[in-house]
Amino acid sequence: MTSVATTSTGLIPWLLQRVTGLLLVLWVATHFIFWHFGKGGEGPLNYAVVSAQALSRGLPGYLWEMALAGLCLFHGLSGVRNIVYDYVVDKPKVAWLTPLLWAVGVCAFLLIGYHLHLFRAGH
Amino acid sequence: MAKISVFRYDPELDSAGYFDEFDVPYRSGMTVLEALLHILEHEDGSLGFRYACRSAVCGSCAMHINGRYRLACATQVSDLGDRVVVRPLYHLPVIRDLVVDMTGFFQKYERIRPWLLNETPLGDEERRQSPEERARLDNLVECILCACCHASCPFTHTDPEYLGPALLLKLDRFYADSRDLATADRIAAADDEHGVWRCHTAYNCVEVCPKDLNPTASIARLKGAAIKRRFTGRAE
Repeated sequence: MTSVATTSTGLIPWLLQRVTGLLLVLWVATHFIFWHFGKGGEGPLNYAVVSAQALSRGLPGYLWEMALAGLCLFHGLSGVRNIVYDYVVDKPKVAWLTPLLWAVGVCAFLLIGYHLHLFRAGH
Repeated sequence: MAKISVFRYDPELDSAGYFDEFDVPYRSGMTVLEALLHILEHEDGSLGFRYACRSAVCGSCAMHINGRYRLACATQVSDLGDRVVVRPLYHLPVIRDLVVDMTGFFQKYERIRPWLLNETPLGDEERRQSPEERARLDNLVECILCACCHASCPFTHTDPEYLGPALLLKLDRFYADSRDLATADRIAAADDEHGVWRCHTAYNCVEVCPKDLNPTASIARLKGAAIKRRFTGRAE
């Protein structure tokens, strides 16, 4: 039946989109618990309270937030790729798309990491 | 009288489609197909549409009627309100009026090899199935290839190579059949970017199927089988 299955299948991108979607639910929940409703959560929730809670998590908190950023970027940019591929079926025409999205994702990830680092170092 | 608005298009005369309005004498129990036959016989003999069985079995008279894909022979005019608007199926080229070109649809159908693949010699008896094995085919064998689901799917429009819900349901029908021994080939046919991975679970196919089938469930089953085959090497 090779007459039908002649190209790369799309299984892995489909699976990763679902896995990152599920992990995002977990990560976003923990993000809110750690940053907004965790220890020291008494009184009105404002920038000082949130930043204090974020900083109290130390390096593990930083890595956890970077994982959240990575998941968001992968899930979102993979979604953009899916939408484009739904409408541009001739893949060679958009061969530049996946490398471009990876470049955007890596740059955004490094930028987020840098600014989170500055935030931690500033306190 | 029933007001029937019918899509008209003759590629030799018209640069674009338009609608013709007809007043059809209504009688109790009249179907849209009967209304179209009345127009053909009494109002305009040039109206083009397909039909055959008149009993919702052949799938020939699938059309877009009042905003929904339906079989004209199984749709009563009285259920449609004051005005009936009939269009051809979407996502298939219009040959004339309500007649669409199903060539691409049936070419893809042939490519999935919609017959039992089993090269073991057949003895004196037919290949038997247990009641449980037969039960797995319930519903799946009911598809009449009317292409309502194909027309309603957003991705049969953007990807002409996409097998579409009807053919993936057919693929599942043979994948689920205990007498079919080409399980790995069936999964390989589905495991393709123009196969199950093109489906984004819009559920349009489930909503419109005149036989109340569930192509989305078939696609999900084939997706699961493809993932299992990829990571365990087992096709079952």
